[in-house]
Amino acid sequence: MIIFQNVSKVYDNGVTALDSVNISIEKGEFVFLVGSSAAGKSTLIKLMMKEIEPTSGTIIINNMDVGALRPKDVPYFRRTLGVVFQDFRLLPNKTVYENVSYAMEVVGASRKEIRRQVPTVLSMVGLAHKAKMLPSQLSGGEQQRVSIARAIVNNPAVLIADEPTGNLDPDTALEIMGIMENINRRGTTVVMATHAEKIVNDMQKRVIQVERGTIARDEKKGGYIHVN
Amino acid sequence: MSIRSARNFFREAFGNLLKNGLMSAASIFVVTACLFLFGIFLLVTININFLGEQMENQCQLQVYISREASKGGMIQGISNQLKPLDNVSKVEFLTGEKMFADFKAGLSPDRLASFEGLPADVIPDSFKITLKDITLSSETAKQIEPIAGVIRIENRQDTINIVNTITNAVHHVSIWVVLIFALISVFIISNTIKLALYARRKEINIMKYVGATDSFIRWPFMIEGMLVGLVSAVLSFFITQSVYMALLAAINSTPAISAMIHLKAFGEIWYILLGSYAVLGIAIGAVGSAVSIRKYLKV
Repeated sequence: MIIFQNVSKVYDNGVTALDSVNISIEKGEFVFLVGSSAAGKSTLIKLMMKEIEPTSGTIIINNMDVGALRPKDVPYFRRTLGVVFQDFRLLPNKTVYENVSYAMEVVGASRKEIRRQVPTVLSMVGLAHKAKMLPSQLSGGEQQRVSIARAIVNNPAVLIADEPTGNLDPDTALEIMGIMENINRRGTTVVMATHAEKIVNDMQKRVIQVERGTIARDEKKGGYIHVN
Repeated sequence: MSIRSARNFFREAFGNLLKNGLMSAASIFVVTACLFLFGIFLLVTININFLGEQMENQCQLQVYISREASKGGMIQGISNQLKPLDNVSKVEFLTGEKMFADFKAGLSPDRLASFEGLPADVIPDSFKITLKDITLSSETAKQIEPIAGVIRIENRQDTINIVNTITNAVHHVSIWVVLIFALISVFIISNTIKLALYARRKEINIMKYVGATDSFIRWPFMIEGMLVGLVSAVLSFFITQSVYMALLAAINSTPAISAMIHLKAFGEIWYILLGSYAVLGIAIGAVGSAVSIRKYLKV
């Protein structure tokens, strides 16, 4: 469950990125966040990850009041989220297996749990046979699949993806979306910011369109609409 | 921190040390250089203190007694009165004849001529008194003055004062120099570590996003810093040992210098040097890492 209540964000330079935004996302939903560049999508994502603070309003994620979290509680909050970035953000010196197992080590999982869970998620994303490779030895699509495996290895309630197909060719992007849909079918809420028009149109999921810091459109089964 | 976490942190720190080879080498080089400079000063301090101790040991009172006392069988009596004094550690009787003979033996033949014809007992008999605490020499001299038969006390208070002044100055300066070296080292090392951290800022960023606590991120870096400090300490130790042994060999091979300067043997000081290097190196590495990483944890 993700709730934004009258959330506004004004940056230090005076730019209003979000203006009294209200959003409610149910558990298990698949939501596309769309909108033109600088519309406020990234600000929404950053607020969800508590990377930045709202200027006003309340954000509730996984039953936690994000604004009220003390700094020492933030890591524990982030463990309830899985995050996938456009640029993959893998640890270059660690193997595929280590990149994924690291996320489990961070939460204090036992070696036994790690040995059981990591191969399972690597199989889910189709990379079990490349577990010993370094990120530099993988294609862009494969790196993104590692990033997804890392994001879901701790069974997060919410998966946040910021332009996960932005650096990928159309075929690879479709593969990635197949994996994301699979994850969503298992009950994980997926929130994905994207510019990928074809993907949004093909999948016909809930679409929240952000324009000039406000919610311009919120459709249960929507497509991609350009706003000039 | 659980044993498993500690093991993971050490494994992570060792791994990073090796994987970031060039940066680790740069950090080790800087820390080694700082520790070596610190070590040179430490050795200078140790040896100046040693020189001070040598001079202090040479500082004694010379108590001259009258000829009447010598001839009147009072020598043993005076000696018995000197020995029980609190600040006296050793009393040695010297005859005037022997002192005069020793004095003349050290003269060149032309200077010796001017002393020809003087009687053998021109210098009165005396006691050479070694003191326990040279700073109390004046008080001890005052206790000796009233003893019957004592005619003059040679108190080398000036020499003692100079030695005290030098030793105190060295102690004060050493504290400041150690502090300054430690600060400079922390500054240089924290900057080197900052460079290493800058190169790995994305890594820290990722750790934050997957829910790592600050201490979980900080420990491997701190252990890495401490390992850098420890490796640097061992390197600095061996470099300092080579330099010091070479210096000792050079001094010993030149009799004119070795007669004047006595340095401590390396066997007497190696543990002070290694201990100081290890403590300072590890502390600098840990503090430097902790200070540098703070900025990168604010995500």
